[in-house]
Amino acid sequence: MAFDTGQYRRTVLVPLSKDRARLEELQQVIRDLQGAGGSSAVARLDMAELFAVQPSMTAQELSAHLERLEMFFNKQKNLVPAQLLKRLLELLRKSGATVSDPRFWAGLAAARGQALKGRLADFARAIAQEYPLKVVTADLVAEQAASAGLRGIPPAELAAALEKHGVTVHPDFEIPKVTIPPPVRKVTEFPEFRTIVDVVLRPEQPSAVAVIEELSFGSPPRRIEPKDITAAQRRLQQQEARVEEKARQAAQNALAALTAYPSAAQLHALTLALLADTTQALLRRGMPRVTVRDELVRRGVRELDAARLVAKLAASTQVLGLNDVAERLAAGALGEARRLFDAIPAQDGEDPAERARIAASLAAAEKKKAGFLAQYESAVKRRDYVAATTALHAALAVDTQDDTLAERLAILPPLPPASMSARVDGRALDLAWSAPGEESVQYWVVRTAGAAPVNPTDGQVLAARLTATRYRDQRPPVATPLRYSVFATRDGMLFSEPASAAAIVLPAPAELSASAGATDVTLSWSTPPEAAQVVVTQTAADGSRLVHRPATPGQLTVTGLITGTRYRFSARCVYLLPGDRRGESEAVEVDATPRGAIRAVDDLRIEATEAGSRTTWSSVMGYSVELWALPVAARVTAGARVSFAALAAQRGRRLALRPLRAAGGVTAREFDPLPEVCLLVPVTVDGDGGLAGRPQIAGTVPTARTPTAERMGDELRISWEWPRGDYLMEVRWSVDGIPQVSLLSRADYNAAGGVRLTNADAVRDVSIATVVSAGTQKWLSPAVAVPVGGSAAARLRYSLAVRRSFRGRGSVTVTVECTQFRGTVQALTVLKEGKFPPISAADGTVVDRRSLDFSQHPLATFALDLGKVASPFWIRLFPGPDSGVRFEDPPTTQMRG
Amino acid sequence: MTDSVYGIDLGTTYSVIARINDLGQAEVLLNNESSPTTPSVVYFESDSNVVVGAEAKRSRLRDPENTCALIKRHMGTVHPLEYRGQTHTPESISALILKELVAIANNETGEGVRRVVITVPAYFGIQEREATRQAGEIAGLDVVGIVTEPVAAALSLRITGEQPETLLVYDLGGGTFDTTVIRAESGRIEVVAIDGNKTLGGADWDEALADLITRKFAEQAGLGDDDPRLDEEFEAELLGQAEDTKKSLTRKEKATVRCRYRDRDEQVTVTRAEFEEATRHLVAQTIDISRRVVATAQRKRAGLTVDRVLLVGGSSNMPMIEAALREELGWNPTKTQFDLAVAKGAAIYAQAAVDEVISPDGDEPQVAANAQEKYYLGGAKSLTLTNVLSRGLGVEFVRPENHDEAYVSFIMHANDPIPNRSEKVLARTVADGQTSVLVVLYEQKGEVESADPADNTRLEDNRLPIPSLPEGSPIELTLEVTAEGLARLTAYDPTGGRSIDVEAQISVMKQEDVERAKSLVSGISLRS
Repeated sequence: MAFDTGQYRRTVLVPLSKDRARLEELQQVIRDLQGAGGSSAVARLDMAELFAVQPSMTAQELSAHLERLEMFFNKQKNLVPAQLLKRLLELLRKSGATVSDPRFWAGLAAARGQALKGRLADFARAIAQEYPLKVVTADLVAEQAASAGLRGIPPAELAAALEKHGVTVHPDFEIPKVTIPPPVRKVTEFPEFRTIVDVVLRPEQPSAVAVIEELSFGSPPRRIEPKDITAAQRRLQQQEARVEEKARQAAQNALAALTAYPSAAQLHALTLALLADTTQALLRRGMPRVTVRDELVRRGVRELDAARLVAKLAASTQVLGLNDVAERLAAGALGEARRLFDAIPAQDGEDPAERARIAASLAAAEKKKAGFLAQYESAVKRRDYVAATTALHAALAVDTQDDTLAERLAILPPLPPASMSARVDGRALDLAWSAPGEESVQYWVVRTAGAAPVNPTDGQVLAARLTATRYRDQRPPVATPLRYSVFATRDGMLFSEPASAAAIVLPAPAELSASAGATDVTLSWSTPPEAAQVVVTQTAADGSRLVHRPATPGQLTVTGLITGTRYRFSARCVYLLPGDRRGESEAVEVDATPRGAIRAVDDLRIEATEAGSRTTWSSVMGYSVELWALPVAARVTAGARVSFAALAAQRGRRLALRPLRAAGGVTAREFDPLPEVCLLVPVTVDGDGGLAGRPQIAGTVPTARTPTAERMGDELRISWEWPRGDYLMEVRWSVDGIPQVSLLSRADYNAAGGVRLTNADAVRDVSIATVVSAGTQKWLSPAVAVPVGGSAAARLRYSLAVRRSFRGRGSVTVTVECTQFRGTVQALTVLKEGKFPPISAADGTVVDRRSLDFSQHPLATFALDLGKVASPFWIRLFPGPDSGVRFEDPPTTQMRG
Repeated sequence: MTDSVYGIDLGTTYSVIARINDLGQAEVLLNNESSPTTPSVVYFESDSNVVVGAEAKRSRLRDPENTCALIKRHMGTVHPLEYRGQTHTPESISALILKELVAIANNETGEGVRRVVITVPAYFGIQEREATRQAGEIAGLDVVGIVTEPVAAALSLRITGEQPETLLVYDLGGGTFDTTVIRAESGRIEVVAIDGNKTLGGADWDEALADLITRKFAEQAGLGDDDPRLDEEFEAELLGQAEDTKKSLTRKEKATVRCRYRDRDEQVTVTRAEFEEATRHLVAQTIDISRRVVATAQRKRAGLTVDRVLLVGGSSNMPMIEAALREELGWNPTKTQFDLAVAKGAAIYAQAAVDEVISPDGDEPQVAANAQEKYYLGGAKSLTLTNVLSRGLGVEFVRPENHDEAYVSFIMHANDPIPNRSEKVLARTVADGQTSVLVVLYEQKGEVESADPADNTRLEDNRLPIPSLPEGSPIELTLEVTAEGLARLTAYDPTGGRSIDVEAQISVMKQEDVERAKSLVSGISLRS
C-alpha cells in the first residue's frame, strides 16, 4: 500500500506535536537508547504506530517504506516529532538493530505487549487502591490508562485486569434533573420510611433495590410502577391504625404527589434524584464514602448501585464544616446556620474552642433577633407602626431568610414619605418626596386648606395608588393657603402617617413685553384674574428706581426716558389673602432701550494707517454698528436686513474694532491690517442681525513666492508658489523688447506645469502679479520679478536613436552637431531608469564620458551598449564640468527608451 | 566555448552569478526578472521539469510539499529528499540551481560558458566543499576552483594599496555565518584566522520572526494552546511573509503582517524593537564568534589589530548588526554591496585562475615581466592567496593501558596555514604479533577540538599490513593538506618498508552516486 504522507502527518505527527506527555515519553526513550537503557527502551512505545509499519510488510517493503519515511522527515524541518522520530531511527540503526527486518518489528510488538502486561497489573492495583468503592466508569479507566501511558489497550483487557483486583467497570449515568415535590422529600423524615420506595411498598421494606438502570427489586426483578401508588394509597386508607398519625399524613401527601408521575420512568427518575440528594447530604457531612455507601444499603439500596451513586457524587460534593456555619451567619442566614451547625458532627482534629465560639455566635444572633421581635410586638400593641416596621427590619437584618418576618412586614403600614417639597411653577405646583428602602408602596396625595388631613379621605384626593414619588397640581386655588399631604400604603388598607407641605400659589403677570420709542417705553402683560393689582418697578442703568401702579389693566406707558439708555422693568401681581394680608407674586422682567429708528450706514470710509486701517461713519443714535469682513465676491445688499448667521455662512467674520477719538456725530474705529482683500460691510445691530450698510473693498493682495525660471531645451519654464486663496496670476515678459502678458488660473498652471515661454534666449523682464477681481473691479499685487539666467553659452544640438531589445538590452546612437565653434567638448551620456529624465549628470548613471572633437568636422556620432535596462528609461547628454557649452536636448520622445 | 568563466555565490537563500566584463570590471549578471539575486529555491513542477528562483519561491505557498529551500545547510550530509517520485540529494538540488544560474548567464552574454568558480563558507569542512564541487559536476559544469566567501568578498574590494591592511570580514548569509581575519594588499590575500557557524544565518532570523508573529497572532486571536504552525497553509504563508517583514523592518520601525488561520484573520503589528529583542541571542552568537576569531588571529600574529570591518551577506544589512558591532566591539563597519560582493569576488578569482595569474598556495605565481596589469586585481599583475585549515585533522589512537579506549589526536589544527605538511608523527603498535594497523583519519566536527571520536567526523580509514612485530614497534605518520583543503595521511612501516595512504573520503557521494545524479539532473528541464 502506498505511503500517504499527508495522512501520516495528520494522524501521527500533528497529534504527537500536541501531546506533551507523549513527546516527553519519546524524548525519554531516545535518552535511554543513548544511555544504559539500550534498545529495550523502545518497548515502551507503540513503534508500529509511530512509524506506520504494517505487520504484513516484507523486508523489501519495509526498507523502501523506511527510506520514504526518512525523506519525508527531512522535509518536515519545523515538526519536532518528525525530527525526534528520525533521530530514533538513526539511533536504532546505529545500535545495530535490523530495522528493515519484519522480525525486528514483530519483536518490538511482542516486547511492548510484555511490557504492557506488567504495567497493566500495576495500573489495576493502583486503581483498586485509589477507588475504595471498587467501581469505576469506562471513561475514567480510559483516561487513567492514557495518563499511565497505557494507550491502545482494548477496554475489555483493561476491565479484565481491573476485575482481578476487585474493581468493576460500569457505564456512567446521569442524575435526573427533576424537582422533588416537598411532600415526597418530607415523608422520608419519618423513621417508617427509609426511601420513597418504602412509602409505595409499605408494609414491605425491600432491600437491594436497583435504582440506577431501573427502579426494581427482588429476583426476578419487579419494577415499581404507577399502579403500585394507587395500591399503596388504598392500603394506607385501610391500615390507618397501623401507622403513626403524622407519618400517615405525610405518606398520604407523598402518595398524592406521586400520582403526578404517570409513568414508571418518571417514578424512577424521581426516586434516583431523591436518593442522589440524600447521598449528597450524607457526603457533605464529611462521612467517608464507604460509610455513605453502607448507609444507602441500610436504606434498602442495592450495594452496587449505592457504590456507583457515591462514586459519582463524591467528586462533586463538598463537605461542609464550621467555616460554612460562620459564613452563613455572617450573611444573615441565621436559620440555615443553625440547621447546619446542628447537623455537622464533631470532626476529627476539630478545635473544640472553635465549635464553642460558633455556638456562642449563633446564640447571640438568635437572642438579638428575639429582642427585635419583642420590640415589634410591643409597638404593634401601641399601634406604633413606624417602630414596629423598624424593629422588623432590624430582625430581618439578622435573619434575612425568615419568611415569617417578611410576611409580618408585608402587612404593616409603610413608613411615611420623607423630604417632601412643594414648588410653585407659574399657576401649577410640583410636589416631590422620597421613600427610602421601601418597595411595593403606593401613595395617596390629598390637598386641604389649612390643617393636615387625618386620613387619606380627609380632604381633596388629588391622586391615589400613585407609584411615583412626585405629583403636579395643575390648577390649584390661587391666593389661598394650601396644605399637601402624601400617605403611603402597601395594600390600600393601612396607611402611614402623612408627610405634609404648605404652599400658596400667587401667579406672576404673564406675557410681559415692551416696545420702545425715542424717549418712551410701552409695556403690556396679562394679569391673572385673582390679582388685585400689578406693580411695575422701573430701574435705570444708574440704579435709580421708580415704582408705577398702572391704572389701566395690562398696560403701562413710561415717558421722559433717555434715548439710548437701557431700562429694566419688573412687574409683580398683588393678591389679597385671608386675614387681610397681601401677597406678591414673583417678579417678571423685561429690558427696553428707547431709541430712534434704525438706519443702515452708507458713508463708511477706510484709510490705511501705520497700525492697520482707520474707519469712520456717521453714528446711528441708539444703535451699535459692527464691521464684518467677507470674501470680496460675497453678495450683500445695502439697506437689507441680514442675520449674523447668514454673514458667517458666507465666510464672514466680525472685525475687532478699537475706538478712536472723533468729532460729534461720527464714529471712528481702528483695526489690524487685513491679510487679504475683503468686502467690509457695516451692520447696524438689532437683535441677532441688523441692517447692512454700503460695503467697501479693502485689504492687501498676497504675492507669489519663490518664482523660478528653468530652461528645458529652447523653452523657459516659469513656476512659483501660489498664495492661499482663489486668485488669478498675471505673467508679464518681453521678447525682443516687445511686452507680452498672460493671465492664468491655478488650474491652467497645474495643467501646463507652469508657464512655458518659447524662444528662451530672447525672453527678458519676467514678472508675476496676483490678481483679485470683484465684478468689474480688479486689484493687482506688486509685481514679483523672476530671475532669468544670463546669456547662453555655445549651444550644441544632439539627436538620439534609442533601442531596447526583446531581452531588455538597451543601446543608443548619439549624433552631436556643433556649429558655433571648433574644438573639443567633454560630453557625459547619462542613463536613468524610471518615469522622469535626469535633470543633471548626477541624477542618473554616467554610462559614457568622452571628448568630442569638432575641430575637423561639426558632427560627431557614437554608439553605446547600455546593458540590461528596465523600461522606461532616459538618455540625456550633459556637458562636462567647466566645459562652457550647453547641450540642446532633442524632443523627449527621442530621449526615452 | 570561450575563455570566459563565471563566479557563483551559491547561497543558502539567494545565489548570484558574475563575470569579468570587457572593461575588466566584475559585473553581476541579471536574471530573467532583471534581478541580480536569484532565490536558491527549487520547485519540482513535475518529474521532468523544475522552476528555480523567485517563481519557485512563490510556488512554495501553494505547494510546499514539492518545493525545496535552504538545501545548502545539508551539503555534505546524507539527506535524501523525495520529489515527484524521484530521490534527490543536496548535491543534485544544488546542481539544479547552478544549472539555472549558468543558463541564464549564457543567455545574457550569448556565450556557452561552462567553467565556474563556486564559493563556500570559510567554515565548510572537506566534505561540504567536495559536495559543492560535485554539485557543479552534476550540473555539467567545469569547476575550476572553490573559494571561500570571505576571501571572495575581500577580492571584490580591489585593494590597490601597497601597505597591507587587516580586514575582518563579517559574512552573515542566509544560512551560514563566517568571520575571517585577512591580511590584504594589492595582489596578495592572506587568511589569518577563520571561524563561524554553518547553521547560523538569516534563515534563523526569519524563524525567530515567524515565531514572534505566531505568538502575537495566537494572543490576538485568542487561540489558547492551539499552534497554527501545525497548519501547512499557515506555515507556508508565514514563512513567505517573514523574510519580507524582516526586510521591511530594516527600513521602517514597524511592519504589519496578515495572519489567517481557520476563521481568524488578523493584522499583526511587529516593531523593530520587538524583532531585535527576539533575535538578540542570535546577534550575540555572532559577536562571540567575531571576538573569538580576532583572539585566534592575535595569537598567531602578536600585535595584530583590525583596520577595517567588512559587512558581507544580505543579512548583514539589518541595522541591529551594525549597531551591535559598534556597541559591543567598538567597530565602524564598512558596508559592501552586501549580497553581490561575494559573487564579484568569485568572478575575480575565477578570471585570475583562467588567466593563470593566481597562486593559491602562497607562492608568487609565475607571470611574465611585461604581463599586463589586471584591472580586476586592482592593478596588480597576479594574485597570491594563502588560506588556513577550517577544521582540525587527526588520527585515532588507543591507549596502551586500555585498548578499548580510543581517542583522536590532532596532527593539524584549525587555522593552521595551508598547504601544509606535518612533521612525522611516531605511533606504535599496541600488541605483540600485530600484523596490521588500522589507520583512521578524522576531521574536527565541533567548534573546538575534542579527543572523543564521537565528536569528530570519520573521514576514511585504511589498513596497513605489517610483518609480525612486537608491541611498541614504530609506525610513522605524515599528514599533508593541499591548498584546497584536501587531506592525505601517509602511514609508513619502517620495518617492513611498506606505506599506505589514507585520502579523506571527501564526500558522502560515491562516484557512481554522482553519475546517477548527473543522469537524473540532465533529464530535468528548467522552465524559465
